[in-house]
Amino acid sequence: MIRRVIALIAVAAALFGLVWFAPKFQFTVGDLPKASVLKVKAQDLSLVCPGGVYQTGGSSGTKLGAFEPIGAPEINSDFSGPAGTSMVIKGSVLTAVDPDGFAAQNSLLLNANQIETVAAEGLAGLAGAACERPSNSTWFIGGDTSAGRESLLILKNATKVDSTVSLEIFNEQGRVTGAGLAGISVAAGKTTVVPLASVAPKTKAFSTHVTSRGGLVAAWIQQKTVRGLAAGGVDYVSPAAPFGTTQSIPGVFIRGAADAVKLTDPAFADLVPTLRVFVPGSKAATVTAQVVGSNAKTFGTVVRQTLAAGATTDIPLTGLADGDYVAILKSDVPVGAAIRLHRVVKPKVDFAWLGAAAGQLSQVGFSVPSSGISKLSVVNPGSSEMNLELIQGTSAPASFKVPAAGQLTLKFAPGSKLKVSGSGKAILANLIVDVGGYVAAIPLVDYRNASGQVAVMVR
Amino acid sequence: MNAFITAVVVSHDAVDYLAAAANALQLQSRKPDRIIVVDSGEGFASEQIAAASGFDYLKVARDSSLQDSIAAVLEGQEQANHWLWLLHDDSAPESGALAALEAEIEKSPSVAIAGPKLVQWQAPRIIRQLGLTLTPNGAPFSPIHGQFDQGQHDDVDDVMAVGTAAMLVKVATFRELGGFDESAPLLAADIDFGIRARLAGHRVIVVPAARVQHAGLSLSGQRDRQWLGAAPKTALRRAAIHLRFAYGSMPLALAYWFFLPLIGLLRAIGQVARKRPELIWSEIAAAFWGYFTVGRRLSSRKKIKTTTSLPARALKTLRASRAEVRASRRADKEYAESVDNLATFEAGGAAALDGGAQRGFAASGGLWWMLGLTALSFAWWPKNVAVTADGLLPLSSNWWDLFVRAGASYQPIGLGFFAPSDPFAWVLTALGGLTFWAPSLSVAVLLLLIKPLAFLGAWKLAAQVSESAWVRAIAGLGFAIWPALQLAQLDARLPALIAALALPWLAIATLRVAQIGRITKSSAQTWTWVATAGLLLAIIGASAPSILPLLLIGLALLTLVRIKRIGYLIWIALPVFAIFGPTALYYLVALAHPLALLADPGLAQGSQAAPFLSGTELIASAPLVFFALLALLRKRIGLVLSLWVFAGIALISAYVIALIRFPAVGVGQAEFETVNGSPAPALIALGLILTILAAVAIDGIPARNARRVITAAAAALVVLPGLVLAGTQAPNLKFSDGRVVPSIVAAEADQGSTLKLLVLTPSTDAAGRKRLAAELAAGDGVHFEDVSLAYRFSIAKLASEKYSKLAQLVADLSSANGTPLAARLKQEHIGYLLIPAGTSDELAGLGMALDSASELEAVGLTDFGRLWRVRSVEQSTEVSDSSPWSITKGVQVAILLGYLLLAIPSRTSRRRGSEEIFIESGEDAQ
Repeated sequence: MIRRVIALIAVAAALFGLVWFAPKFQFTVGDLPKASVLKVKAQDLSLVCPGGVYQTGGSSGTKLGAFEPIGAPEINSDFSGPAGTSMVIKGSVLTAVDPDGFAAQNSLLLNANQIETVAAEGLAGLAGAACERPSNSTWFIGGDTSAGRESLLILKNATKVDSTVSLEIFNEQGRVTGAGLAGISVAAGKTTVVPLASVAPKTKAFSTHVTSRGGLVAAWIQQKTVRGLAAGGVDYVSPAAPFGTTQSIPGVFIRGAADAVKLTDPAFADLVPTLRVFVPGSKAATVTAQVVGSNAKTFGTVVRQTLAAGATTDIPLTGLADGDYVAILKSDVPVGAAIRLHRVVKPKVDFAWLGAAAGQLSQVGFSVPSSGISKLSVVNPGSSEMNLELIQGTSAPASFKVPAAGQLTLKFAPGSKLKVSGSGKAILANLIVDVGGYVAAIPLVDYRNASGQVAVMVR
Repeated sequence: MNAFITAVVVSHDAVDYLAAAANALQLQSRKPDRIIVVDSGEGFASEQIAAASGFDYLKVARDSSLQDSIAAVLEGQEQANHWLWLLHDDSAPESGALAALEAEIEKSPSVAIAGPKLVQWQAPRIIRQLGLTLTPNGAPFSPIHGQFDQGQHDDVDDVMAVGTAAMLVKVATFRELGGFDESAPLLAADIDFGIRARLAGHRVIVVPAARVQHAGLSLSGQRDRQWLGAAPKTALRRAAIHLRFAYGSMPLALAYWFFLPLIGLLRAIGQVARKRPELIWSEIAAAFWGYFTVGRRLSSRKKIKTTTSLPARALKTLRASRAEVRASRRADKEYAESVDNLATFEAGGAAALDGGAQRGFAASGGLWWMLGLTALSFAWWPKNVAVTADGLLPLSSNWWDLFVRAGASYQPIGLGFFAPSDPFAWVLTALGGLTFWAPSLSVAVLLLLIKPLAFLGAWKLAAQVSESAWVRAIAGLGFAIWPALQLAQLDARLPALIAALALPWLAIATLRVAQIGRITKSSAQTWTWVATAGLLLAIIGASAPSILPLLLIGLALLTLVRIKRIGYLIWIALPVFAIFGPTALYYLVALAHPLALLADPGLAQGSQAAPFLSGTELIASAPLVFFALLALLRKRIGLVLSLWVFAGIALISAYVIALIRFPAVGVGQAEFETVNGSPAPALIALGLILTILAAVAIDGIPARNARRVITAAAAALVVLPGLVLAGTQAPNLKFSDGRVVPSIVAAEADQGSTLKLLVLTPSTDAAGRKRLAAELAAGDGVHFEDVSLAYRFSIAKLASEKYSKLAQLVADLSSANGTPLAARLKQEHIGYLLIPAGTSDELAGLGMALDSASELEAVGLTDFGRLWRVRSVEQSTEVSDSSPWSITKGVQVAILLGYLLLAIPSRTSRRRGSEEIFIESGEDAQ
C-alpha cells in the first residue's frame, strides 16, 4: 500500500511539474510568407475649399432654388514640397503635384483654409473652414433649420468619377426618415448644394452623416441666421472628429456676454453658447461636460446629463462670463460633440461652430489668415503637462507648456505659416479667427494620405 | 459378374499419408485386383512404401496430370468389366469401402461412376464430402460437408458428380468419355467428368456405406502450388469459371467472358462485404485467368458435345437449389464460429463468451443523460443550415464539391495550387455526406451533439472496465463535460471535436480486434472491427494529426502484447496511411518539413500553451484528476499504470504541440502570421484516459451499500464543476445560409460566372508592420473544405510573376493614384472586390481609394463587408481540365470504400444477433 501511495504522489507531482514548471520554448515549423513591399505612385494630395458663401435665390435673392456663391474667399495655404513637386490651384482646389508620387503626404506638404467676410442683405458674418481632402464618409455635428435659420449642405466632387451621396440625419428624437435623403448625385467636377430644410425641416438640433459612393466628395454645412430682418451671422460646420468617449473642444472664446444678455428680443434668446452632443449607436450616453476657463475669473461650468442613443441634443451653457474657455466631454459610450459660439459686438452679431478637435499625433502644419486676429486654442485633457513645440516659418522652434486639464492660447501674426507638434501627445486645437467683430473657427487637419509604399501579401 | 478393379494410388509427396493409405488398402475386405502407386513426387519414399506393401509402382513426370497418370496405368490393360478405383495419397478407405462400392455397381449396371462418403482424416464422424453438384449459378458445390455424421445422409445415391478421391469409375466409360478434361483446372475436372458421364447417359452415384478418410491436402494448401496451379482459393474460383464456360449456353458464355474482369471486381467487392477480404485477390486473379485462357475453356465445350446424348436440362434435378446453397453457407459460418468459440474456450476465455447480465445503454437510462446533455448544449442549437465561428467556415452547399476536394492534387485557391489536399477533406466529405443536401448542416448538428455523443462514447468505453451502470454514467458525464472538450466546442474546433468523438470508439474497436476484454465470435466479426478501427483511426489521424503518434505508439504496444493478432492489427493502420500518404510525401519531399504533419487542419486558431486552460477550467478539471489518481490504490494496477503512462504521453504531446508554431497565413483567414499547434486533441485524449481511470477507481470500491452511496455522491462532485462550466458559457457562433460571399457574387457564380473575387484585408505581421493581405477567391468564395494546410506551408515559396503582378495591382488599387487598372483587372478575371466591414483607419482609407477608382462601382455594405463591382469584366475562358479523379484518389476511395463495406456488419451475422436476442440481450443492447 505504501508503495502505491508513493506512486500516487509521484504521478501527481509529475503532472503538476509538467504543467507548471516545464520550460517554455518556441519552435517554428515551415517558412513564413513575406509581404512584398511595393512602391506605387501615391495619389496627389488634393485639397478642396468651400469657395464663396452661398446665397439662396442667387445674387438677386429672388431666384427660386438657385444657390450662388457670392464674394471671393481668402484662401490661405502653405505648400512646402520637395524638389520636383509643385502646387496647382484650380478654382477652389489645391493640388500638390508629385510626378514620382513618393513625397510623404500630410499637412506639412500642403495645408489650406479659407475665410470670407460677407455683408449682404440677411447674410453677414465671417465664415471660415479648413480645406478638405475629399472623403466618402463625413459626419457633421452642427446646423439648424428652425425659423430664421438656414443650413445648406455643400457637396463638392473634384474627382473624375460621378458620385452619389446619401444622408443620415439624426435630430433630437432620433433618425430622420423621409424622401430626398439618398441618391443625391454630384457630377464629377461639380458642386451640389442641398438645403437641409428640405429633408429635416424646422429642426433645431441635428447631426448629419454624409456618405458617398463613387467619387469622393468634400462637404460642409453652411449655416446662416437671420433674426427678423437682421443678419445673425454665418459659418461653416466642419467635418466632425472621430467619435470617442472623450471629446475636447478648444477655443470657446466668449465675448460680449453682457451685451447678449441685454438683447431681450426672443429672437435673440439663442445667443447662449450651446453644446451639441450626438450619441451614435444604440446605447444612451451619460455625458459630463466640463467647461474650463483660463483664469480664476472664468471658472466655467459643469454639465452632466444622460442623452438618448441615436439622437442629437443641444445643451445651453449658461452663465459663462467673457473669457477663454475650453470644453472637455467625458462619456461612457463614444459620442460626437460641437459648440455653437456667439459673438455680439454691437451691432454685429455672428456665430461660429467649434467642432471637437481631432487629436493630431504628428507635427501639423497650418496657415494663419492674413486678415483679422487669429488665435490658436490648445486643450490638454490629460492628467499631465504637455509640451508644445511651435515652428514659425523657418525660425527656431519655440516651446510652450499646456497644463494638465488646462489650455493654452497663442496669438499669431496674420499670414504666418506654422508647424506645431505635441512631442508625442495628440494636439487638440482650433484656430479662432476674429475679423472686425465677426468670428470663425478653423480646425487643424493633418491631410494624411497613403504614402508611396504599400506592403501587399498575396495569399 | 465380378468386376476387375484396379486401385490407382496417385502419390505426390505426401509420404506419411501414403503410408496410412497403403495400410488401409491392405486391410480392405474386398481387395482390389491390382494396386498400383503412380508417383509424381520426389524421392524414393513412395516407391519403398509401394514395394513394402506389395503394390505395383509407376513413376511419372512431376508435372504429369491425373489424366496422364491414369492413361499410363491403363496402357495395355484390357480386362472385361474393368473398373478403376482412384485413390489419392491422402485418402484412406475404411475396410469395407471397396466392398460397399462394388455391391452398388453390381446392383445397377447403368452406374459408371461411384463415389464414397468422404470423411475427415482422423475424425471419421464428420462428413467431408458426399457427392458434388453445381449451384444454380454454375459454380461447383459440395452440398454435404462439415456435418456430423448421424446417418442422416445415408439415403443419398444419385448425384451429379463425385470427387476424384476414391472414385470408382468404369474403364469403358472412362475411355468413351476421353477421361478427364485436360483443359479443365484440377478442381473442376471431377465435376466436369461426372457431368459428361451423366450427359452420356450414365449414372453417377455415391455410396454412403463406403467410407473413406480424406485429408484434403490440396484444398488446405498443404501441397505445393504447382499441384493446383494456384492457391487453393484461386483454384476453386478458377474451377467455377471453367464450369461456367463449359456448361453455359454459348451466347451467355461469350457475354460472361466479355464481362469477366468486371464480374471479378464486383465479386471481390462482394467478398469484402461478406468480411472475406482474403478472397479479394483470388477473385480478381481467377477472373483474369479465365479472361485470358478463354480459348482453352471454350475448347472443352467441343469435348463435351462429342459424348453428349442427353439435353443439359435433364440434369436439373441434380443441381443444388438456391435455398440449399444459402443454407450451406449459413452452416459454414456457424461452423466457423463454433470452431472459434471452441478455440476461445480452450484459451480460457470462457467468461468472455458469457454475454453477462449487464444492462444495456438504453436500459440504464443512457438516453436520458444524452437528452439532458443535448438540452445543456442549447446555445449550439442550429438556427440555420450553416455555422460560422472562429475556427469554422460553412462547407460548400454541394456535396460533390467536397468530394472533388478530397484527395485532390490541384486546388483552386490562391492563383491555383498543386499539392495534395488535406486528409481532413475526406473527413469533411464523409461528415457532409450525412446531410448531402446541405453539407454544412451536419457540422451544425454535430456541434450541438458534441456532449451527448462524447457521453455515449465514454459510456461504452467505460463498459470495458466496469459493469456498474452508474459508474459508466459518471464516466460518460466526466468525459462529456471535460473542460478541454468544452473549450474545443466553445472555440468550434471542428477537427479536435471529431477526433474526440471518435477516440472512445477507436479504443473499443481496437480492443475487440486484439481480443482484450470481450472476444469476437468469428473472423467476420473481427474484420468488421478491424475496418471500424481502421476508419476511425483515419478519421482521427486526419482531424488531429498531433495525436497520431500517441495512437500509433498505442497500436504498436498492443500489437506487441497481442502478437498473435498482428495479422488483424496491422490492417488498422492502412486507411490512415492511404489518406496521409500523398500529404506526408509532399511535406517530406517537396517541403522538407516533416513536422508539418503535426499541424492542425482547418482554420488557424491560436491556443494557450501549458497549463492550457483558464483557472476556472483547471479547477473544474481537478476532481477528475484526483479520482484518476485514486485508481492507483485499486487492484487492477497493471491496467491503471499503463493508462497513466498513456496519460503522461498525452500530456507531454499536448505540451510539445502547443509550443510548435506553424505558418497561419492561408486562404480564409488573415489575422495572424503564425499559430501554435492545438493541444486540444491530446488534452481530450487525456480526459478520456482520466475518465476511464476514475471509472476504475470508483468501480473497485469493495464495500457495501452505505459506502457506495457516499462514493457516488463524491463521484458526482467530479462532474458538478464541469456541468456548471457548461451551463455558464456561451459560444460565439453565427448561423447563416451557408454563403461565404455576398449574395450578389454568389448568385453570379451560381449562374456559371468564372469571375473572381478579390478580398483585401489589412493585417499586421509579427513585427507589427501594417500590410495588406490580398486573397483571390473563386466566385463562390472560400469554403471550409478549400482551406489547405499544404498551401499554408508552401505559400512562402509560391512567389512568382503572377503573384507580383497581382500584388502590384492591389498596391495601385489601394493608393488610388489614377493608374489605369481596367486592363489588368480584366486580365486577372476579377469581377468583385471585397473589404471587411469595420471602422479602422486602414479600412476607411482603403474604402476611399476603391471608391475613387473609376474602374470600380461601389455596391455597398454587404453581410461580408464592403463590395465593389468591376465595371468592365472579362470571363475566364480557361477550362479547368483537372479531373476530380487521379490514381491516388482512386486508391484512396477503393481502400476507404472497402473498409466501409467491411465495417458494415454482414447480413448473416445480424441474423445471428437477432436469433440470440434472448440469450445475449445485455450484450447486444450495447
